[in-house]
Amino acid sequence: MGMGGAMNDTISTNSGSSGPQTLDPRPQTPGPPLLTVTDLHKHYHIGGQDLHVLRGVDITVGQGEWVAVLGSSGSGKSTLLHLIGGLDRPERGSVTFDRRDIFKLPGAAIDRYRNRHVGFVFQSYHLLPEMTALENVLTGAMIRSSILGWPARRGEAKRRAIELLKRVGLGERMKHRPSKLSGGERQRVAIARALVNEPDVLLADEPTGNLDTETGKQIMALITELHQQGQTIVMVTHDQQIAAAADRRLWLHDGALTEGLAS
Amino acid sequence: MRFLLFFMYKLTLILKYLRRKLGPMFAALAVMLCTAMVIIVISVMGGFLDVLQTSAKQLTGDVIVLSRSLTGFAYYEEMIDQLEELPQVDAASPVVTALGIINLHGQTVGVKVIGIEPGGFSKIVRYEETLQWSTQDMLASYGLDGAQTSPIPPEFDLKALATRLDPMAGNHPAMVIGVEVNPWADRDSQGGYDFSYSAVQQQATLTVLPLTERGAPTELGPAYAKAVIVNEFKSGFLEVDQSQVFIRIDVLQKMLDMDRKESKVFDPESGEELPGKSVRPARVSEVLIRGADGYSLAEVHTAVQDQVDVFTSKHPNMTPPRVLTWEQLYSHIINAVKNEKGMVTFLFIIISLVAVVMVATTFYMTVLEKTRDIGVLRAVGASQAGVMSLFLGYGLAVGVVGSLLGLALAVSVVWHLNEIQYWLANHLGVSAHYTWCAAGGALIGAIVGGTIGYPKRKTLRGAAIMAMLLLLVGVIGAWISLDQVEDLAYKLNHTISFKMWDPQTYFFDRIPDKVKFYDALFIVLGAILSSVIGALIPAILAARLDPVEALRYE
Repeated sequence: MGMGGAMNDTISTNSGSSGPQTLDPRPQTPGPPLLTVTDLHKHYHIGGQDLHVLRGVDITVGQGEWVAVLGSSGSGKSTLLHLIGGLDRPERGSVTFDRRDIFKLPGAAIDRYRNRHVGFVFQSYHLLPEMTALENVLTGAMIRSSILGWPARRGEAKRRAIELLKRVGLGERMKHRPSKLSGGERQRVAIARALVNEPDVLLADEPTGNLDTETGKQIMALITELHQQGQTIVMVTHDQQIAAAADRRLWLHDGALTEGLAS
Repeated sequence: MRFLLFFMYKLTLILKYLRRKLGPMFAALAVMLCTAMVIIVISVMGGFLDVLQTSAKQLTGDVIVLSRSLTGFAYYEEMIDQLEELPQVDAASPVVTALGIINLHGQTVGVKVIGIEPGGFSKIVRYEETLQWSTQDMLASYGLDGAQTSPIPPEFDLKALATRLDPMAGNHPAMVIGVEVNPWADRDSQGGYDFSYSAVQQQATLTVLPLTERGAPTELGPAYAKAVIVNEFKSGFLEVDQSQVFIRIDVLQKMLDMDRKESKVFDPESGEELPGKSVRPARVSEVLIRGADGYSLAEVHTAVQDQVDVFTSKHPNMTPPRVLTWEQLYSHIINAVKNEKGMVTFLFIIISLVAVVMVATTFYMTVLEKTRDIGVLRAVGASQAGVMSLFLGYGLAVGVVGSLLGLALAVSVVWHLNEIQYWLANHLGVSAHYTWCAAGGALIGAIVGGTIGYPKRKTLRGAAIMAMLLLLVGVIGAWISLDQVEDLAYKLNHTISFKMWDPQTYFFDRIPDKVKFYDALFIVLGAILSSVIGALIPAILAARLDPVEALRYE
């Protein structure tokens, strides 16, 4: 980990937004900036209407920081996460990682960015149903390795996948397919999959959204533990309680971000 | 290298999709059936072509020098000597051909009479291999076997007699006729012949019409000769086997007035005999040539043609004969079968395009079904090319699995085609009858046993008694059905048997049952390619999916 560029302001918010209360703009544990989002705009054309979902979003995420983006349903939280992860492209703006705007990279480099520097955790888990828990976790590592490199990397990747599954409490269920796992277990597999290539930043999209309260707490405990071990996390959620664990809370409203302070 | 970069997860996914999804299995099944269908068709049609070509070559050697006239050409001995000096030529032998009539058992049949030098002829064509009857066949027809009557007198060794065209008895020349020239020839259901109906040892009258060198009938009129049939031949070429007879060349030359003649020379003015004699050289219709090993047919043909050109230039009065390869000579038949093979193969390949459509449909459905998975793969770093090659690899896997299974099926079917056809012709009805009888017996057993056992069925003992009764009555019912009405099986077989190949109708005894390696390889590779082509459009669609939309796909 640790691909950050020059130190910038750790936090920047869209001053024109009318979000909830703005508290201390400084994070509790500021680190060197890892990821910078600048003036990000995204439109959707749905049903003949032009929806301006993101209207000039700016964020800087420090290394080892946990940023929670709060917002109501349809506010553009997931869109922001997809843009940060290089899954989607904005109409305007940049996401700078390692001093380079990811949207100016060629397609293969963006794919590599998603594979090596970013780990996605989705609300609906999105595990591959044909694969076992272990194989799901290994997918990212397999994509990373060439067929020639895989024999040498396979042992190490498998050890890491097993270690991750044990770490998320699924040491006994590695050979189970997703259909044989509970929702919480699936989300743990998804987290392990996101971490297999030791990404610089974990992008979590409503990670507890499909889980009951108790299981949600367990998943949050796991994410908190990862953060305590130094993992940079950007999480989107609509649940303020969940977001309370983050270092910083940002509110996405009317396509713009406003700052909130971690409790 | 980028392709290889994505190979691992694709291989894992492909293997899992193939194992756990029904769609790809149906696609592989379609590829398998289409591959098997084309291989079977090409193998059988190619087999027919091979049999035809082998038979044709067997009858003529490699190259033939053919007179343009029924009256033949002279100086053939000199031509043969010169041809045999060519390194491209292994052997050459003269042949006289004429249209004739044979009268056998009071039946008169039109034939093509072939006069041969037995020794030289056998060096060029596999004449001996075509001979149908051995002395053992003759003895067997008398209810004897070889051990009881050995040693067999040479004058009754049918193959030796036919090979040398030696007379069997008396002074009549020997003759070998095609099996179907014999008007009494009768084939059994397997396409075989019975010696009892053969013409061997029978005396036949051969009639030919001698022609002058100008092609007019001679003043002598038709020539007759009695001949004894010492054997029959079966070349596998129906046209030949129902029209050709072999006799010694010297006998035929004499009958046709094509033999060497010496005559006294007279002074046309005084009428006095002059010293010396006028010689009219013997003539033949054809010279058959066998090429030397290591030379292609074209090389032999060219060498012979050049030599014949040189030869005819030295004999200005001689009409240059034609020089043809065996392929050219029988092109009218071989090309017809070749065209037929090509056309049938083409039609089946068109039909096989259904496999491409099947693969395309299956894969399109798979892309729809796996849209979200595609989004997930993109999210964890798979590229567009990676996703595309995943589906192409998937198509490749379906093609490999389907075509190899198709190859195995085709080989199994082709290798056992004759047995399958025999079973369909002779046992289909019998098997159906047995199945029905057994099922009927079991049904009767079930009804009777159930009725008897019904009152006791609620107890374990009652159920056991009922089961025993069912079994017993079922077995008895099946036995009675099978034993008492067995003749029904044969009647039924007569009704529902399926004879796809009737050896009595076709001239080959067996359906060709060889699969050619390169044909099979070409078809398997074609099937794999078709499968990949079928997967191409779905693969492109999968690669072009927007990952965000794919992740949201419901």
